[in-house]
Amino acid sequence: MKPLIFSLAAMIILMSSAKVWSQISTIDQGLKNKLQLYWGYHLTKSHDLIFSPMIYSGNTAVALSLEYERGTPHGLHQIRLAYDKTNVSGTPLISWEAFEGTRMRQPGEALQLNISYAYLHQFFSSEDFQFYLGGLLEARIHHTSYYLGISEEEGYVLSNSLNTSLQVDYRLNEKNTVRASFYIPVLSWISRPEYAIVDNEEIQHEGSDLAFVYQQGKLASWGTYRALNCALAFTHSVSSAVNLSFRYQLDYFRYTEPLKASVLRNYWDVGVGFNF
Amino acid sequence: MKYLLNMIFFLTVLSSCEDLLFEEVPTNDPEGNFESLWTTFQERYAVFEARNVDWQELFEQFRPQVNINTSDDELFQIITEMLSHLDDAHVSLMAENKPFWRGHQEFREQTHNLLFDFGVVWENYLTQPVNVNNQYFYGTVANDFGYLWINHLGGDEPGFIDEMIASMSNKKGMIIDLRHNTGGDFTNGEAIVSRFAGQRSLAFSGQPKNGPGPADFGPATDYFIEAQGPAQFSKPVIVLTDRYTLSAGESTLLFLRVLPNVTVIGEPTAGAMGERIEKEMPNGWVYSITGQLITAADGNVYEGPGIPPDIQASNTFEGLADGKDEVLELAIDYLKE
Repeated sequence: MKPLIFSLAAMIILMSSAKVWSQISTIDQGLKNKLQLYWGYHLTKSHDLIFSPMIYSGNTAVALSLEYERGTPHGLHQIRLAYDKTNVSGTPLISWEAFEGTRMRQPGEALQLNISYAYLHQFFSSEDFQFYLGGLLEARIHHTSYYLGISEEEGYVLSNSLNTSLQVDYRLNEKNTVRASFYIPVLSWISRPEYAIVDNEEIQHEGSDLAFVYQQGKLASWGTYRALNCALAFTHSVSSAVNLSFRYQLDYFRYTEPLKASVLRNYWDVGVGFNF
Repeated sequence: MKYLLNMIFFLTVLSSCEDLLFEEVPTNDPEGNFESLWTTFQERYAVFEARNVDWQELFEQFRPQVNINTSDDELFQIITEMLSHLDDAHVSLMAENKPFWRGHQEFREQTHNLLFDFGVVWENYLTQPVNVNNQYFYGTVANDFGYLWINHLGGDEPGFIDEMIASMSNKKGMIIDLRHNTGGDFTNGEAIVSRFAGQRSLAFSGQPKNGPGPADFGPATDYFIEAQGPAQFSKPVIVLTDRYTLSAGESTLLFLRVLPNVTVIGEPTAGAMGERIEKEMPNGWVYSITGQLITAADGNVYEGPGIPPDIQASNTFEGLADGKDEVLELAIDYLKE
């Protein structure tokens, strides 16, 4: 319980700091808000040794993200909500003779949901460059359904992370900008099944609510949970109110307890944004 | 723009370096497939000791039979021959264009399968019969006793149970028939047994296997049974079992046998009650293992030999040909006494 309290306390402190920054920064300045909707093509590769020795891969165009950004004189508040769902497989999808006739293996299904909040403080600015450094809180659910033979197994990695984040904005010209961003976790709370289906059985026995799953989690530092997210976005302003974006994003995490689970995702997104 | 493209190229190249980002995967060739299966069993199969099997010895016997030129048919033959030493009803192999292979000799050959015929019970013994989803069948036998056959425990919670208990309130005893129970979700069995239970009692505990060593087990989870629902049936209960009582059917029996009003009549069960987990080989074949060691409340591990009855009894082919279920008749006589 102590690690959980410590983790929560750290997150609350960061959130409070961000709020204070926000209040100080917006007293006498005009606000700048941006709402961005992204849709894209995502490639996923995942390797969860609790469930399979094989690397599962798949791609999808069922990938959406909604992002809100509020600019202040000294920094940026960013909120992001992202979702995607991918069919994945790691081996040939064979068919065999079952009792009721021929049966064929089905691909697995990987689902990811991310919710994050970041406050980025501007620490350097020039005519063309803005540099930001800050903290990012992210809750991530990565869930995979494995349809192997005649049963279904549920794999998941749930993480709540406090990350350190760096962002650079570069103005190419009046209409076009490039943004590079990068974040890695400092401290995380990770929940995942310990043992294939047995863990599901225990959840089933105790009550299958999300709170129970989170309670089974552990505090993780860089030694056991490594993650990296970097993104590169190109934005073209159509008008003062509307912009179009193209973004490439690489997202990777690896958790080593009790067996390794690694997920690599490549995103190619296009987006439309509204400034107000 | 050039820098932007360079960055995208760099990140894409980085992300394609699988060796850096993922663990090594087994190769999809006969040797890689065999070793992948053998290693997973070594690390995750929980009941070698209970089944008195030396897995390393089997590796030394069968591994030399596999080489890079081994055909799929030969590999299937070698693997199934190795797995048959476990004689485990939770072990199976699903291979391309092959029939579902079962790891238990009795379930493969079915020499005793016809020693139970629910049709005989339905036609010759059961009055006021109720069929719930072809899964649960209940009614009255010999006027005074309730009867419930649990064919399978899968699917939704057994919503019929409280209505059935209410309909049995005037019966002098109850027969719960677990013969040929094919398993399913053991919590459904727990829900049914809770209507026959009183005080909270330990029924069994389960420990998952989590490493290559013989003693590499995770912490035990205890499973208890206690009264639930609006009413309980607390009169004498006879439970019937046979060698086809399997998996969740056996867990249900473990819940029942700790109740003070229960007597078990029949044959030892199939002896496969640890959780069945499916795994895959690089070639796409799927196999299942027993990933959990179940220890009954009396401290015994019944994986392998099966859970013994209090009174051993079996049907005969002659009796069934005459329309008689001799085990059921023994249970009725026992209740009458």
